[in-house]
Amino acid sequence: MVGVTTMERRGTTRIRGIGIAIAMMALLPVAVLASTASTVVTWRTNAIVKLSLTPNYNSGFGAVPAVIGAQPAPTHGPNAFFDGGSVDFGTIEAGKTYLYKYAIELNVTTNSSTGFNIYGEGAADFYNLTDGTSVPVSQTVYYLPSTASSDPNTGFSAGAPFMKTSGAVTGGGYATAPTIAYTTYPAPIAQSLSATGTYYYDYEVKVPNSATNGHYYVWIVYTVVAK
Amino acid sequence: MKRAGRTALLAAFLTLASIAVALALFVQQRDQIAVTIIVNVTPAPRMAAYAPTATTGSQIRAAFTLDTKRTIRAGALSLNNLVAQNQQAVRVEASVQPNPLGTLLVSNLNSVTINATAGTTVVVPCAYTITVNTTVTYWDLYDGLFADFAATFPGKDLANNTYLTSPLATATPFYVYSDDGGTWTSVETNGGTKTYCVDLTLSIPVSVSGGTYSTNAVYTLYY
Repeated sequence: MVGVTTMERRGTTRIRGIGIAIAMMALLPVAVLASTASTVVTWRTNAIVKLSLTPNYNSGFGAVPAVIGAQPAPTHGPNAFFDGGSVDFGTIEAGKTYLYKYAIELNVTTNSSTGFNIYGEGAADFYNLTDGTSVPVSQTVYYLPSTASSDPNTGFSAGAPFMKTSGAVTGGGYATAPTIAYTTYPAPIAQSLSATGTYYYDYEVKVPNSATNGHYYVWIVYTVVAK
Repeated sequence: MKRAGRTALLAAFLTLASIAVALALFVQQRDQIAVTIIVNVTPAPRMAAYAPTATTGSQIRAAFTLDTKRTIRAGALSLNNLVAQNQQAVRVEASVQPNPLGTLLVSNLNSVTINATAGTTVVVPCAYTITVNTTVTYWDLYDGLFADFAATFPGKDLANNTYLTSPLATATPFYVYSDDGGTWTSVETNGGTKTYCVDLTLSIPVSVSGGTYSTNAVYTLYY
């Protein structure tokens, strides 16, 4: 080639150097070109809670007055029927104690390996539809453990009172079952370490002598919470 | 003579029969009420003692722990704290009519609640009152507990001091109907209308577990 200048020789030298550099870069470990980081992913699986409530769950359901000795046959009001309806004591006298046999059965199913709590409260006081007066539910309506059948309780068997809830109640008119929204749960009426359980309860009613005549009602609300 | 003898015997028999009938009519159960006694038991405190170490010499450190009920905070405060729950309700109802016995035998309370710690004794002055409302000049009031609180919590751990104006010198343990041969015990004999205060003295065995226990104090009026 005639007349290759110094500048042309330098350019060629640079190009050759860049090519060598590129070739050298290809030999570098891949790690130098990549970066890694890690992050922790967590999630909570909400427990599943199923609750079924069956009133008047065994034949022979109904109210008996508190007597010593031979027990009378249970009776009930028109709104109670086998496996449903309300816990209807029917006609009772003020100042006397009545036991309602086979009042409710609770069946609880959860996927909680640590069990569950059951809360039971009155949505309101025992309310007289006839004149609008009330008597405290905590002095009037009680619950006590029962059995699937052959209930041994009598009207003198002691129960524990239902307390009036301090939660926020929605609904609760005579024909409308209420719901209760809790910010703090009360003391449970039952606890389980197992994921499932069945509970049987009798109810008792002791209307004070001072109560006015009329038709009274209260909704008892059961809440099951997985632990 | 024979006829006169038979007549005398018949008269004597009729007289005795009348007396027997009169006595039976005189003493009868007239009314019966119950007051539910509810006891919320807190377990006895636990103590842990630590042996002295080389650095502490002969000092013994002790730590106390108390079992208390935990209040569980509910509600969806954040997505990470959703509480799984389910709810059902049942209506309880009754048609209330007057008691034909009126206020013959009444209590001012249907139930009494006592909060106490296992291993302690609690006195509740005038926990409730019992009133006999009658013009009958002689009646007999019986009392007793229907059953024990629990197998490990005898009803006789509950004593009563029943009085008109001033408490008696000592409280008397309740009879327990199911333990004491199915009997009640006479607590007062009197006449007319009277109202009694009932002080309760409860001694809870230290072995009783925490929880809620209940029984019924039953009052029966005879005349």
